[in-house]
Amino acid sequence: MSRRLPLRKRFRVHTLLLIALCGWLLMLHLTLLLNHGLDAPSNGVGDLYLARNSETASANAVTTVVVSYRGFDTLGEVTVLFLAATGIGMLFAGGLGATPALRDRNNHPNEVMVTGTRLLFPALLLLGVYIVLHGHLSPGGGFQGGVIVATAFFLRMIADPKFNLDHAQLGWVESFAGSGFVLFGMLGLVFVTTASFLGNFLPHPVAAMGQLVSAGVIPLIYLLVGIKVGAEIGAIFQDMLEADHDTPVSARAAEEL
Amino acid sequence: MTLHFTPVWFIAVPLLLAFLAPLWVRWRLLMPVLFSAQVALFVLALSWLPTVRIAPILETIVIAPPLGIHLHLDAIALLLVALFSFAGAIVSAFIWLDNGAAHLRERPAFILMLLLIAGSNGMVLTGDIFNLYVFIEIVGVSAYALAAIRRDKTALEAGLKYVIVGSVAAIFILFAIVLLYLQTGQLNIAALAQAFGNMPAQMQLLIGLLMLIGLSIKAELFPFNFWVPDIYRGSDPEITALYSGVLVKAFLFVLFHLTFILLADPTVARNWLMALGAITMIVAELVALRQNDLRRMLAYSSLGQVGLITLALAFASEATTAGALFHMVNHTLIKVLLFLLAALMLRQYASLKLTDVHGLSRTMPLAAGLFVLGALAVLGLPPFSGFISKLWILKGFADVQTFWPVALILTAALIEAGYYFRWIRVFYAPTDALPMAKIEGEKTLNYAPLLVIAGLLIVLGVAPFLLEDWLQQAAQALLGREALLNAVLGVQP
Repeated sequence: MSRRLPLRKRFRVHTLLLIALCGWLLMLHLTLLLNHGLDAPSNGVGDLYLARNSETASANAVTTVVVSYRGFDTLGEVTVLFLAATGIGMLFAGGLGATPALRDRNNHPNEVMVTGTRLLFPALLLLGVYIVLHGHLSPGGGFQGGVIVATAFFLRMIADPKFNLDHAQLGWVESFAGSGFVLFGMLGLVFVTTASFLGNFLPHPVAAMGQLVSAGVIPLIYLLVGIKVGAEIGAIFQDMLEADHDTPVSARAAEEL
Repeated sequence: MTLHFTPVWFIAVPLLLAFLAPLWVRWRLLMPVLFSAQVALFVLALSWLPTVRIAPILETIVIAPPLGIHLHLDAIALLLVALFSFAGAIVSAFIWLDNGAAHLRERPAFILMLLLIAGSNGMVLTGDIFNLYVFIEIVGVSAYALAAIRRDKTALEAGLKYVIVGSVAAIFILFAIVLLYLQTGQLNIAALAQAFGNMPAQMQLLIGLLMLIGLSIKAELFPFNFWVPDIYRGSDPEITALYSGVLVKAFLFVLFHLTFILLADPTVARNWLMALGAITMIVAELVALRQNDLRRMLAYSSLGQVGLITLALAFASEATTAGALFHMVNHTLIKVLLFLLAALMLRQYASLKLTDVHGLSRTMPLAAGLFVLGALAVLGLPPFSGFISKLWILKGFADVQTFWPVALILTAALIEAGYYFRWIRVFYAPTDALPMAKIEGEKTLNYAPLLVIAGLLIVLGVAPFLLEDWLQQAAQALLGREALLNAVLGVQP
């Protein structure tokens, strides 16, 4: 059908110009950033964080910054993800009936998918949990591990039409992890030794650096972040797959669109 | 072990309550929790007033300021936090008492409203620029989702528009922050302020422009506010009350806080920002004159007032700043009142077009009366508080012999009078139609939060000295660059 349309209708000039403008701005930004990024300042806060890292006894300096020094930012980022999951849940709740079904869940998924998932699922789960628990020792942590765990469940949802994550249970898990994070922060405030929100109030001797049990509250907080991220991403996947429930109100709204 | 009341409570408590939402759903406590949280934070803010008057509170999070994140509770931050909590309490009380709008009393709305206000508190309190960005994201994401929460055609369209425009603005802000970090290696706002002057002038200009564009989109300044009326028209009026009353005020604060602290001499940006404010005001008021939908009219009127506040804040003198802050408080109260009235009217009338609300005073006498009160307050007539705040602003300009803003503000007020009285005339127009039957659920109790605001507008108008000291101190805190650098870094700049 689109072939019959004249050229100027197929390509909207305004849109193309806008894209060209955005592309030009992007190039401008990149050149600017690269020029200044190469001779990055050496006395920035990043280097000062590195110099102070040993005091937290976390072998992974990035984790120290993410969970301790700038843990407040991380709490904020977890909240942004939480809000995004809430928003998606709200928009998809009951499904937007008129959107084309993302996939027919009654169809049998193909054999490769099923077998592959059967093999991959335990391995992915293990990898995810490992990455979360070793966040303070090796690269990775709550965000990355949480997403990997959620991906493992996502594969199962695709491979097995009958497999569903229970929204209510996910909600409780997420609630537990989120409030745990804030409560850890509050405990830091309560203890006289730290007297600061998110202060590291558990013993964190430098001698234990590099062991699984070290760095005080950092691995515990990262574990909670992992649980929360995993539950939220899982809930988002579940919301997007659940497009086949119908509530008349939203279905009508979607048709109007 | 002792329990410290510290500024972080304004952020941590709402976060905790939002994360615990499944618990409140099970116990059917969503609305009581939302309301009492805002009231508790408001009371907490007021209880801090004597302490903050003496010296600002600086709270370190994990490590000390130039390196770590800190919260800075001074007179202006306290003023805005108290204002946001109050507006939140009024709006949540209104939704709680109201029988309509079931979607605003469910779990998503609870979480989004709580975090919208918590994020605004965070934006006002934080002393770290990346932390500021995180809060801008929190506020942004909750606002986008709230715009779409009714899930019908207009609401989804509003939400989609808001996501796109808001994300573009966020990218501008983020890019400015990236450049700031690359140039100085600092994230603390006070440390940045110290290093800002040493940057190449072109870089300063670029960063300033990026910040200005990003924050102007968020704070709804002309010419970046083309998207506002569509979103105010599409979202629920209860939600737009929060946008106009809380969100915009938080972004205005951030814009001027950064201007006054990063620039050693704020007069560099004075003319530009004043021009921006003046154009926003005049254009918005002129466009409002032609609006035939009540919510669009209120949206443009809100833009006009934002322009006025910008104009007065940008002048950077203590008198106009105090006046502008007072006007900020008044405008929040008035717009919350007017938008909540629009919500009540929308329950009774299918549409709020000018032609559809003839003789509204017959069916909803109290609503029409409160609308008149709100209109008079926004115009700045005595004995309402809007009069005092506009008077302070005009006096601030006149004292230093700058008369063009005075002329513009008075012109804008005249135009404003034109369109508000147009609506009032329609409300009180004699109609032949019999008064419509009252819809079910229409109770006098619905008006209780609105009457509280109306009372406050009169009290503040009659006795502005209640707030005068606080506002003066807030103005000094906003303008006091040296004092802030000194408090955070402990050195003379």
